[in-house]
Amino acid sequence: MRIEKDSLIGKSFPKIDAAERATGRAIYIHDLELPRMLHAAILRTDRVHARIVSIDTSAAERLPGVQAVITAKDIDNVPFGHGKDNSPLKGDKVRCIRDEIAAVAADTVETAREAVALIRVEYEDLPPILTPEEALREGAALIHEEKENNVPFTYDYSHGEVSAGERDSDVVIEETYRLPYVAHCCLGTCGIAASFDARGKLTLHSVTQVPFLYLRDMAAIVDVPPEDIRVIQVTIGGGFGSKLDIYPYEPIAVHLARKTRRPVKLVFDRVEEFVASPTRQPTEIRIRAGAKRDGTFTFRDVDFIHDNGGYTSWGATTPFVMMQCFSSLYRVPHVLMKGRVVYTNNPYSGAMRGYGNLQATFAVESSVDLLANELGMDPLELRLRNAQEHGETTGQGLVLKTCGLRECLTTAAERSGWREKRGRTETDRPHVRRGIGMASMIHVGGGAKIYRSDGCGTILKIDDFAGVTLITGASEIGQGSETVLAQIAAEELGLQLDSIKVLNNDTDIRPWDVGVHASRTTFVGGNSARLAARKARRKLLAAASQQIGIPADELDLRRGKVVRDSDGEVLGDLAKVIRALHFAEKHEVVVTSHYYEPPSVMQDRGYKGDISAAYAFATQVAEVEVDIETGVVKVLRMTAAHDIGRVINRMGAEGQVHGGIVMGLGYALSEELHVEGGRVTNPSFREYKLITSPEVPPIDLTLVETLDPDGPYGAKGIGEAPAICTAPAVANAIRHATGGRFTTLPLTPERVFMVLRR
Amino acid sequence: MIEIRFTLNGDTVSASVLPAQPVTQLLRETFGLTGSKTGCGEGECGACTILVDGQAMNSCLLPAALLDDREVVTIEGLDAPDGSLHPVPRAFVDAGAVQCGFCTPGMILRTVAFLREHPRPTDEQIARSIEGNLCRCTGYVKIQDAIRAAAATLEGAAGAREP
Amino acid sequence: MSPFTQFHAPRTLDAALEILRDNASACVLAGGTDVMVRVRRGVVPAERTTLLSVHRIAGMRGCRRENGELVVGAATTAADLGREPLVVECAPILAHVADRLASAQVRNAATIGGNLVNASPAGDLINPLLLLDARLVLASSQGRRTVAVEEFFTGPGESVLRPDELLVEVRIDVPSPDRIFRFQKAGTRPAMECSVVTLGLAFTPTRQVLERVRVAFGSSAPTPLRGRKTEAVLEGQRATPEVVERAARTAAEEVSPISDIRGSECYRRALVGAFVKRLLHD
Repeated sequence: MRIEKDSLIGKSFPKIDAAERATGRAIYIHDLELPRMLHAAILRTDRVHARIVSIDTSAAERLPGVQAVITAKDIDNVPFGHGKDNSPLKGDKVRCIRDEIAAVAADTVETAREAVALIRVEYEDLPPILTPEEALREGAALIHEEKENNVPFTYDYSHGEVSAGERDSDVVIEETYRLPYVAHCCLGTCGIAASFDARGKLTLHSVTQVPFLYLRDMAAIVDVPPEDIRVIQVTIGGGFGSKLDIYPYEPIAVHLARKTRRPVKLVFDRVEEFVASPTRQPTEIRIRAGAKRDGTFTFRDVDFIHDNGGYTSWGATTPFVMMQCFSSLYRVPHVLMKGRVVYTNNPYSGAMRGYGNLQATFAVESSVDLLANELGMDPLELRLRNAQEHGETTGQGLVLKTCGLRECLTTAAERSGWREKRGRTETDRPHVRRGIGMASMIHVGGGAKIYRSDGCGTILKIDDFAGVTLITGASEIGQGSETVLAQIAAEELGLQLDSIKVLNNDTDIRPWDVGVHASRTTFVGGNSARLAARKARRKLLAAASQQIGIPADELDLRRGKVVRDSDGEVLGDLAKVIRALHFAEKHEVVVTSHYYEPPSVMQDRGYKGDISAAYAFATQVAEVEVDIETGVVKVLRMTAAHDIGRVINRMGAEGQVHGGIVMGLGYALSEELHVEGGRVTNPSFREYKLITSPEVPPIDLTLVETLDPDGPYGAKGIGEAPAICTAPAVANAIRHATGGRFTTLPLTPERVFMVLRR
Repeated sequence: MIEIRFTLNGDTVSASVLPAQPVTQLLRETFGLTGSKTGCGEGECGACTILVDGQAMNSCLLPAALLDDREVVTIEGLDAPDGSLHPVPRAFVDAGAVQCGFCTPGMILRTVAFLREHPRPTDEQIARSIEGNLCRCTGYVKIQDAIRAAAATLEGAAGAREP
Repeated sequence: MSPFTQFHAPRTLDAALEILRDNASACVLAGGTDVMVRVRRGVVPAERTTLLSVHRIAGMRGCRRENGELVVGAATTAADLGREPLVVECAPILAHVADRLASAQVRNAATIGGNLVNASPAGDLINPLLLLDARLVLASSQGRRTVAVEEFFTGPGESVLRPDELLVEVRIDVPSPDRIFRFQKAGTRPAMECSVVTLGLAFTPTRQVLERVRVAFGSSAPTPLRGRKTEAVLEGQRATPEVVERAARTAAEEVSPISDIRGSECYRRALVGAFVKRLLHD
């Protein structure tokens, strides 16, 4: 019997956990039950800036069914977060509408909420500081009184010399763009369950995307040694970056669990999710950019202000990623970027898919179209003139070993009918115009070395029946990473996908991984899995070779058999080889491991350095129709070309692109979390407009394969990319259709209408 | 508290309920059927969708008192007696329409009802059929593909049953 | 937290009216799509401890034709209206709008009576009822009265319905087949939109002249509004560009929209004007 060589790479496989989820069997945090579990609720302030004068919890404590009530004075209220300015509970001062004043653990959710409503707080109101400008004014009150000023972080980046760039320019444009608060809107809201065992060891059933960092940070916040903490990731109902930080509700649950000596679960309802879950970083970006007459970019001079809200979360670090766009999206010899992160009494921002790149790319790609206008040049030509090539190093030191930007530009342009559609904006209806616009993006695709390790560990075990367990540090957040890793292991070992079990939700069992962010899991987790599987493969082939009597390099593993590589003739059965290894003389089991660290570097003090092992590129083209009497924008078609390095799971990659584009369309056209007077005024799906099914345009997708030398089978990351350039593509299309000047997202019908009527 | 009796996934059951208790809560807490999710509690996201007398409804907006004498099917009730997947969840799995999966049970039940009413739907009808079901992960494209594929499968099966 | 301690699901209208007579603060439950949102938000007034469901009352749900009238039971759902052959045939505008209310799941629960009694200026089903000159039948233990839909609303969320009354049916004179009905709603979605502005238009084209014009505005005033001034501009006229322009301007001035999170007053007026023109475009 012969078996042909076949590969799983590049094919489409449904997720290995899809049936569990589709049939309602998967356990999300909302579904989790632990014995004797209590339910918690948080009293959040109704003020935006105030001193707390007194907190009276006595009525709450007396309510039957209430097991514990805590305030800041009842716990060791340890400061935490990137700015060390947040704390589980607030005892002295309220700095934003989210502030947690007290928390209750009770027998039922209803009782906990009833108890929360009985807590009386006295405040001394302070004047609210609602914009960065107000916070920066001379004599403005300090939002964090222990800090020197209201500016916890500043970022200064440059390469080249922008004044030289100005001198070299034949055209210069300048514009300011405003990007809004948007919410992750995960269908599954945030939650946690905390429990201590009889020896005082803490188990956290968590929705975190970064279990090991979470474990380390929680240890300090709740004063439990890290080796006594176990983090179990439940199935999560969406991440998109919302679970990359620790938020006060989490240590609150731990403190309640400690006080009651019972498991405590705390879950947000949708209103609390909108109010208390971190947002995407809103910002105002001023960009000045120049080009020569022939279209060569000369400089970018950017400054922006981030509203940091009352406390620091990952939003304050988005400038690290924005820099990559400003410095390296297209070739620009001179770049200057200044950013300030400023406290206000508004809600604070966290990490959200794209992590600042949506904001930066909106500014850059809008400015590129402005330059094209000034030059009288086709926006596609202008971009092609400045697109990098394989192997270039950017001004920031990013080494573009593979760079599919040109191919993405030309593919998206061709498939969308760019040239021909660029020529007309009229339609057969007098109040409707058509337009076509494009935007590209660059994002890390091979991890991001922002911690001292950007690695991932894998342990691979093969049982006596050739069943594989892949124990990986990499987390599944719904994006299908488990399936990709299983595919890779199956590929290396010549097995079918359903022979692979993936175990990856318990920090007691799995090796370290930094977490799901920066679109890194396929690249880093994938390489880790591949190398662990390769070690197993070598061991298996060596054993087979010994048992069959043919050199290992002439053998292959296919479909659970050992075959002769050259002609596929079946020479043995893999499971039998394993059993022979186990039970006969050698008494060995097949367990291998590998910790993969990508070949990237941490940036230097000037933010320069090859921070990722690979970079991903994409171009999206949007075709729109604009009703100039109502401002309604209809997206007729999206054409996307994504440089993914190599496709591993085709349907998985497509799903990421579709989801990212629709998220990008929401950012462009309809989503905005309204914050007025520091309060969220639209905390519901009725008033926060996500894109719905009938609004999704046809999406034409090309996955470009540039075969990265360091990626597993050449693959690069794609998780964030599809959301990054959608909004500027749509905005550029609307500008083409109407000639209007649009600088603020989202481009709702009313906003478009108001711009056009001027 | 009032007593209600209804059919739940084929079984006759009874419960003592507060009249305006949301059915999502009744299903999840009293009957342990956690497949129906509360995504918003206000009938905007569809994650709580169940079938009542064959009609897709938001269980979060349904007061338990109105369940009396009715036939309820939840996602747990879709599995075939031999444990195999019903054609609609099968189509969702095969089309790559499941990412985080939180919206999926609601999408599936909505689709079951939709395809009974429109066994040969147009693409536009498919797109509109799930206008009340929000998904943040998939961008809806593969969900629409799954509905199309499920329609074909069910039509095929229906055709096969005809003499 | 469910505030209701008493629950009734009477089988006859008389029984229901007796309960209402004796419990002035009873909360009436039809589909639940409004009541349950209020329960969830905790805004049901504390004195409303009695929940009265209409779902078992004989004759409350369904449509029938009585001579030249279409009679729609108040507990008829939006989904029913969208597919009921009688409605599709006699009052297609009502079926069309009902099919674009919220989502299929909500349409399977929401009732025409609930939409009316909730009295939101954004109530989608109300707009076509204004175009159809619908009459609402209100019953109490003292008897019945009929109110023109135009006179039913007194303010946002308020109507002339008395605490002891139940809205039992909606009566519509079946329009002649040559009567034209049009409807336009703002936004990017076919349904699932809490209206920014909706506009309804009805007229009978008689020798190219518009007769018996009806204009209905939604989400443009404190109540669903019949645009009598706009109608006056159009009545008996041909839809020439000048007339259309004047009607659009009159409509934009006739409404009194608020500025809220869904839209500003200025934008809403502009939309009203644009929609008038659009709906008159023959």
